[in-house]
Amino acid sequence: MNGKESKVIQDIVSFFEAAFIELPTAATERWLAEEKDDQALYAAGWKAYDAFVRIANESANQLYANPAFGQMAAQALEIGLQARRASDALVSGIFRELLPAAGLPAAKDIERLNRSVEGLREEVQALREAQENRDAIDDRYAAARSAEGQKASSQIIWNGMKRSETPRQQRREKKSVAL
Amino acid sequence: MEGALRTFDAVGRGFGSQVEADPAPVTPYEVLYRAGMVSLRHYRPEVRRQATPILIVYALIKRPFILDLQADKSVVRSLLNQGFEVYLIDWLPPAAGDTWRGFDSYVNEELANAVRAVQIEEGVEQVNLLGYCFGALLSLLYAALHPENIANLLTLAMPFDMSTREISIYHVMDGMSDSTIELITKVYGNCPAWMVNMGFTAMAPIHHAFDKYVGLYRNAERDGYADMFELFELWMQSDVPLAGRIFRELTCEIFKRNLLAKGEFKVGERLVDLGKITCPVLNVVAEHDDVVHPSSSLGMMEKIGSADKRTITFPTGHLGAVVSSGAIKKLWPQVGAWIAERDVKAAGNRN
Repeated sequence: MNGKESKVIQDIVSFFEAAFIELPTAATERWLAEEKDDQALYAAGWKAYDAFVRIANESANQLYANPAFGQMAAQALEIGLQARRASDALVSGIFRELLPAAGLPAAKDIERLNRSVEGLREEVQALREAQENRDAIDDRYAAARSAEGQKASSQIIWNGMKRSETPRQQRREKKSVAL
Repeated sequence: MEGALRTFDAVGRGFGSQVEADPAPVTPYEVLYRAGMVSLRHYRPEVRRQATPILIVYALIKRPFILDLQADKSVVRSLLNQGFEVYLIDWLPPAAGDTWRGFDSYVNEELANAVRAVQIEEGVEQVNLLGYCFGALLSLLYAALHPENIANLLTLAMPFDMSTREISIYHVMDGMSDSTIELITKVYGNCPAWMVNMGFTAMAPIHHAFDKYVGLYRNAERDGYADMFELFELWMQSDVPLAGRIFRELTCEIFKRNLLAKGEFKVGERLVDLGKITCPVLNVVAEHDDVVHPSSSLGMMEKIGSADKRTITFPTGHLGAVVSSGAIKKLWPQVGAWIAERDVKAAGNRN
């Protein structure tokens, strides 16, 4: 008998001793005693519990050490994973057909829409920056014109076009018409 | 709707990060560097007495707050009190796009970047590397591949020789074929957090099923027990997914084939030669460790090339080594003194 086995036997004996001898004895003594003292009862109860936990732990260890259990656990995991894989494929297949039929977008559509919105956002940002650059140029132009003391005629040339006002004002007018 | 679907998918695939659920830090720190998979924390001592900083490499699979759990149960604080500049790698959880990360990425890129950041910040050529559990494994690999950057190597509860079967759950792992491991990463990408948690729970099923709650009831009168229990539970649930590739390498090559102990393990294209580790090495083993058995850690010392190497076997468990009052009072001052002694020697040699 090796040390481990003798320890298990010791735990089993300890459990039976505590659960079936010490605990009932302590309970009876407490019941008969005039002054109720729970200490002995608790001690016997905890002794039984501790021995039970040690036996349960050792049982779990024995179970793990059994190669058949390891193989069974691995097989169960593999079956679970295969099932998950199959269900993923199935669900994705069903939803690919079902969602458009129900008028709902599929994940791919949402992703495409997201990309499109992102593209638009970047385009708007680029346009805004270009607009700000142009405004800055217009402001500089207007400042330069004012510095010249309104020497030039009211009809000026901007990018080959005759304009009566600053380009910025002109563009705003055009925009409002276009909208 | 889309957000809900994404969340559902993320939870299902185990990418849920627990970072936000960390309790408030006990010891204040600042994040020195954050990139890739690394968030590098810097803890400053009130009075600096040691020249070489310590870089703590935490494990990849749970959150690192266990090292700084309470003011009187904090490895970080113990090292700070001994006058060390302390840096800690808080590994960021891998996302869906990080499945490709294996030991090569974690050791040669992420850990190497963290070491470089400490070298630059401190203006030193070498750092003290202290790894805990899986972090010790990463530290050992780094020290073997980049020995020039390490002043002293400290490994705590390190899994090395995986041929040992003293921990019963290891037998279950034997039953898993490479194809099952492969299938996990095919289905989930990374090894999901719940699977990591399942592994830890299976190591002590009776304890996690009911015994710990009975323990809480029995110790309800003990001062601080309930608070500690709550923090422990938080930590037990703080699992982080493991990047797909490193999970495969760890389980198939290190665990099942024991390639590291056999001297046949490669990181990227380079063979890990532990003989190249010539810096002083301190291996701390927890005598009652039920996650990494002492016999698994002890074998490492024969393989490394250092002339100055020592093992401390401390009578505690895997977690007790970092949170028990005994370890904080007796173990960590020993560890600090061991480093400080070599720090002084190294400074003497430089002068």
